[in-house]
Amino acid sequence: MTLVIKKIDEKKLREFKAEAIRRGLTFSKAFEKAIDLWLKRGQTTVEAVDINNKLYEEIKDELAKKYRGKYVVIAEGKLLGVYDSLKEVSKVLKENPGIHRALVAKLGVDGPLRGEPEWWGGSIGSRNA
Amino acid sequence: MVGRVYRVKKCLSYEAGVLSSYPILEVKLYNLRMEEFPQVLKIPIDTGFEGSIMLLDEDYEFFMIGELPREAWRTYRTLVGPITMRVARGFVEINGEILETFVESPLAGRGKRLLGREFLNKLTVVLDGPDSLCCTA
Repeated sequence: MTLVIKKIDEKKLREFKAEAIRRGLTFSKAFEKAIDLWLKRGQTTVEAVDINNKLYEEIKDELAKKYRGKYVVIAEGKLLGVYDSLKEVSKVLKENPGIHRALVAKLGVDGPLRGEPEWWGGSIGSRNA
Repeated sequence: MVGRVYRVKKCLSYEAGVLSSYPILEVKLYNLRMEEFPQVLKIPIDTGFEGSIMLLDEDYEFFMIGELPREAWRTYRTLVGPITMRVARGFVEINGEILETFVESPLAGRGKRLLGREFLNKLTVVLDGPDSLCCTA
C-alpha cells in the first residue's frame, strides 16, 4: 500500500533514510522494521519480569547444583532450558521470536554483589522507567 | 622513564561539552538474540561509573530478552543516594571485535548513555587530551 505522511520532521526523516541505505534496506522495509520494534515495546509488562523471577527463585538452587556455570533461560514464567553457552542461548531465543522478555542467568555465578558499586556522578533524569 | 607504543585502531574526536570536551567511543550493540540495536552509538566514557554500559530506559527495552535475575541487578552508591539498575546481557562490537557485555538502566529515572569501568577494562583506550582524541589500541 501507499502511505502519505504529513508534517514529519525533515531532519529525522533524512537520518532515517540514510540509516536504511547504510543497512542495505529499502525505505519501506526499514519503516516496517521500525514499526515492529515500536509495537514490541508495549508487549513487555512488569508481570513478565515478576513471573520469570518467581520461577527462578524456586528452581535456582537445584539447577545450580547440577548445572553450575551453565545458562538457564526462563520466559513467560516457563523454563526454556539450560544451555552450555550464550551462543546456544541466542539460538533458542531466535527460535522463539514471540518472546520479548526473558531471564537469562549463569547458574551459581549471577547473584547479588558482595559490596555496593559506585557511580560518582549519578545525574540522571527523573522520569520513571 | 617508561615509554610505551600503542598501535591505534581507531580515533574519535572528543564531543563538545559546556566547560570542556569529553571522550567518546563508537559501539554497535546487539541483544542476546543477536539482533542489532537500531543505532550505532557514540557513548561518553565515564570512569566514575563502575558498571558496564548504561543506557536510556527506552534503549534498555531492546535488551530485555536477556535480562539478569532481579537479585543480580545492581545498586550503585551515588552522590544523590543509592540507584538500582536493571541489568541485561548483550554483545558489543567495537573495532570489528564482538565482546559479551552487560547493559544497565536505572529502575527509576531515564538513565544516560555511558561507558563504565567494567566495559572499559576490556579495552586499551588512549585519551589524548591536547589533541582531543579518544583512541582505541
